[in-house]
Amino acid sequence: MIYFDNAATTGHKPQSVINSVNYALKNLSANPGRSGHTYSQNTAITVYNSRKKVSDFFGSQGPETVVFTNNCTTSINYVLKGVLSPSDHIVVSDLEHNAVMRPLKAMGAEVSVAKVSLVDDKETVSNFEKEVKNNTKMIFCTAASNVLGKILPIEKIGDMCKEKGILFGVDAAQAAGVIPIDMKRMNIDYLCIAAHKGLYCPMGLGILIARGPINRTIIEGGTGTDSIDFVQPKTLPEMLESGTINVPAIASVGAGIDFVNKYKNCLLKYENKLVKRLYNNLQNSNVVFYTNPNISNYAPVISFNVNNIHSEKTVAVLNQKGFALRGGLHCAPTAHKKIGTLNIGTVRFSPSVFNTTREVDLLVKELKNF
Amino acid sequence: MQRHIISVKSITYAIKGRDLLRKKGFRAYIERKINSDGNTGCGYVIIAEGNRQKIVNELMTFGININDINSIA
Repeated sequence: MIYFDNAATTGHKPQSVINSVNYALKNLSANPGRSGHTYSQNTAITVYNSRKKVSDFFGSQGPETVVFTNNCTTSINYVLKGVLSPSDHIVVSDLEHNAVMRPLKAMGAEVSVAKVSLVDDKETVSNFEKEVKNNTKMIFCTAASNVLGKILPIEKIGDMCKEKGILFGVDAAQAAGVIPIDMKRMNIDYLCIAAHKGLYCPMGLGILIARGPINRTIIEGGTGTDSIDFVQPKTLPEMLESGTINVPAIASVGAGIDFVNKYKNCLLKYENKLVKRLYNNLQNSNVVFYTNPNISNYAPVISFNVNNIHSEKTVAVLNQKGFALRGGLHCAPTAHKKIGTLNIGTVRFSPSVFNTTREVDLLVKELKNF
Repeated sequence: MQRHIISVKSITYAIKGRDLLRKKGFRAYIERKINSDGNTGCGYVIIAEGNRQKIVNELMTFGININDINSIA
């Protein structure tokens, strides 16, 4: 099976990440932050070192700002529900995932949607600015669309948020580890990460980095501290980490970041080369793409359809031929509304550094004969 | 040398405080809080040796809030 579904989760993990998970399972299977024995403390120190590594890598102000969650969706829920009040207004983009849109719907939040230009970043920033109102508390947007790969101008949006005194939250599910993100320089208050994607960690690990305040949690429980009090502690990260955390995955974060750091300038360049190879070799064919990766800034994700066939049907056929791609709406109906594919969805091609040009050529051949 | 038992908010702050103090040349380590005072319950403490005020200043400078401090001569 040739795996091109890395936007869902990176299908191949570096050996160093696998080794870290193995090490943790063998040597760190004691609950951190709960007991005083050496085994537990060693585990806690490993978790702390992972927090520090994440904080340094993403330009936050310390390990205590790094919260380990179950996934990026949980991180986003913590931000939206932990910061916004009923009277607050929020601006999001028209490329958001349901991880953003559904919590906002459930909260009954006042939401404005800013249009993202696929070619003009200045226009995108201006569109966000136009939606800001007196009661706007936060701008929350994806750093890179999980359907189109479009990278949003988050640094410019962050500048605008700072100027207007608005909190800025970013869904970096497709961007963390893929494009450089420095929270301080980009004025990002909340960064939500899927560690199992661009940081190559196992599934079941999300990260929230909170430089801004979180007023309340959505899950209460044991934190190993202040245990006499039934009121949830207010201190991060423990405030948002009730219950046992995913130590084997957390222990691998350092190895994942080291892997990204080692190849940092090459990963995106190589993966985008694979996307462009697919796109360029399928011009004048029965394949319709919805973006042009040769212009503007894109993460290594591209959507297409073949002969106007429903995308789920296309990926089912490709699966029979040994290719793993995702069809449907990718939990982001707003993006499909934008490109007019709500009825058939799109086939999403998302390579990783572990894919080869030969594998792309095999897919091209298959699609040409579809 | 004076020994201080410094109660902090969490294991994260305990490790951060320990590392900061060690960098500044203090002998410091962490322990599970043994004498729970009936007001806060479980938690972690930094055990540090040296000048109390200097230790407190170092911790406060880096945003480590101290719940309680007991010094033993």
